[in-house]
Amino acid sequence: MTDVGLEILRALQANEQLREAPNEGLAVAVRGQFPTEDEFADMLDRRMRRRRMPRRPTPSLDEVERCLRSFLKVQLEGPFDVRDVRWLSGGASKIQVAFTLLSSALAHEQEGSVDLVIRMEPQESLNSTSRRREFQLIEAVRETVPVPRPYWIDVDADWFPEPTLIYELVRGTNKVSTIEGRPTGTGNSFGSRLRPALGRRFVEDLAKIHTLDFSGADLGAFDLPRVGTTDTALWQLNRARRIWEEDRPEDFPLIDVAANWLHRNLPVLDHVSLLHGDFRGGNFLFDEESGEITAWLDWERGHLGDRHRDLAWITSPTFGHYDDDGTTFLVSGLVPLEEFYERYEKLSGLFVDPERLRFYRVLNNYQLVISTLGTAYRVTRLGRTHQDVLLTWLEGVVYSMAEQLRTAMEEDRHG
Amino acid sequence: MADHTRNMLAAAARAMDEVIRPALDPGQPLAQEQARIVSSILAFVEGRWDWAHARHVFELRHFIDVVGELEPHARRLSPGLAERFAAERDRATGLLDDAMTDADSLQSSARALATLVTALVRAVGSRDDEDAQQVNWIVLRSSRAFLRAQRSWFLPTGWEARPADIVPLNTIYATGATD
Repeated sequence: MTDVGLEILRALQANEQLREAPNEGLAVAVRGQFPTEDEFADMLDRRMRRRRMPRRPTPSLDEVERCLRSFLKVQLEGPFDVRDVRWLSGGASKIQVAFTLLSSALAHEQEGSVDLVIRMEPQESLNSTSRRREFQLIEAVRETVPVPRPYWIDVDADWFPEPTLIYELVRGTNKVSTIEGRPTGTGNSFGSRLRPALGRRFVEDLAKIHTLDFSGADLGAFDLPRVGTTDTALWQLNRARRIWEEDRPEDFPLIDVAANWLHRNLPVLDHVSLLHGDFRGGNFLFDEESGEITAWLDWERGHLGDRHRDLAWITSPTFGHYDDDGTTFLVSGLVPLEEFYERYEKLSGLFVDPERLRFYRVLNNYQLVISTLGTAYRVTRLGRTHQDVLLTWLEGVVYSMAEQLRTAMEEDRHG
Repeated sequence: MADHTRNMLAAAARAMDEVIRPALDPGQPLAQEQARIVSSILAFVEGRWDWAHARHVFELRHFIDVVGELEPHARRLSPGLAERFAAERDRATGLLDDAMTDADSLQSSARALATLVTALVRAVGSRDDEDAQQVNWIVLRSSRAFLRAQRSWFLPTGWEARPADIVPLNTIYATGATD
């Protein structure tokens, strides 16, 4: 008679060897075991195919500029020039380079000159995501919330070293100039002057995104989950499970307890929302003088699914902080928690379900632990990103997120 | 000869903060940001240097205890796995008793025990019978102490929303409570 536990042990030990020396066999096996959205699966296949490639140093600004000029020769009619090519800081997962484009093709806007951003994957990213999806999402929400205007996309890395999106550089800042914040922008304080205005727009924009009618938008890179099924929850869970199989440094049994719990508790979808996926402080730019939000950034985790996924993410303790009184938790440093839910329900007309919130709280923390403990370890060990030192520093947040995940499951057991 | 690594690390962190970072081009924000992190890492390692052995011992003890608690369930669910539990637990206990055990061996043994526990958790999957519930519950409950220790270890990285709530490392390792 088969001893299932022993078989699983052998597979765990074999996969540990494969993670150190990956091949496509591992990718094929886990793709079949954990089906998810097609574009996600393709991205993950791609990164596993490339994982055996030797390390390539982060491209220099000169190299990026050469790629850019070659790319623009094909995209633009007439003469053009690029000036002031420079690195942008911030963000753990994407290489971002700003530049000024001068082109007669832009004569009708901004007097032939526009400031743009190149947004590109490093050789391997903390989050393997699709520039095509990002491009489609930004286009879909452009008339609804402020976003950078997308200009071009190099989907298959024909000109740039990696898939690349080029969009408008929006004026603004992601943190208050007089308050030192974290490198990723999470949990930063905005101060009492800016909080009211930013907080108001924060909730308004979220409600608009979640209630957007996207039926007319080109979202061909997205799978549409069916209302009344567990599609979206299962796809998100499977994506994370696959990544854990391919990336983790060692086994962490709590993560597998979480996978078991999530699988037992998959919620049914009641309404498909367009989701930002990483809606929080640090991912919007604002005008420090007026307190106006000038752009929402980083749409790479966006997908079509359950609004509770975004709501649980946004209200995570990791992304907010307590007020000076020490007892009022401010969602993204902006809005007290209960007030956030009340305002959201009122503005969106959608209710907040505590049970689904709990599921997605567990799922989000599960994904974040996998990303910051699993993928961050793997890609820095391989020297794959321009931010390796930041990614290793992220381990500091893993265990508080794991405790949130543990507590949520424990509450369910007692509840 | 006494170990002076902490002195070296503290000097390196000071060099970053007082000499190197001020000299960086303000127009290179990525370099500035990463230099700040490098400085923080040096200070973190300096502060934790003397606790590394205690950490390895704590983690190995934790997994020995978890495996011990899971063994009766493993015997019912997967006798083959239960045998591996017993063998690896004995080996790990021997390592703790040997004063010459190096850090790599301690960590390697903890990893092996974690893999055994993971195999059992995966074997129960999303089943909901009594043994499955107990396996999941034992890991869930016992993880509290493990995570408390990890959060204390990483406290200087500044990610905790309420740092005052985190138990200091010397308290955690002094009590030795792994559950």
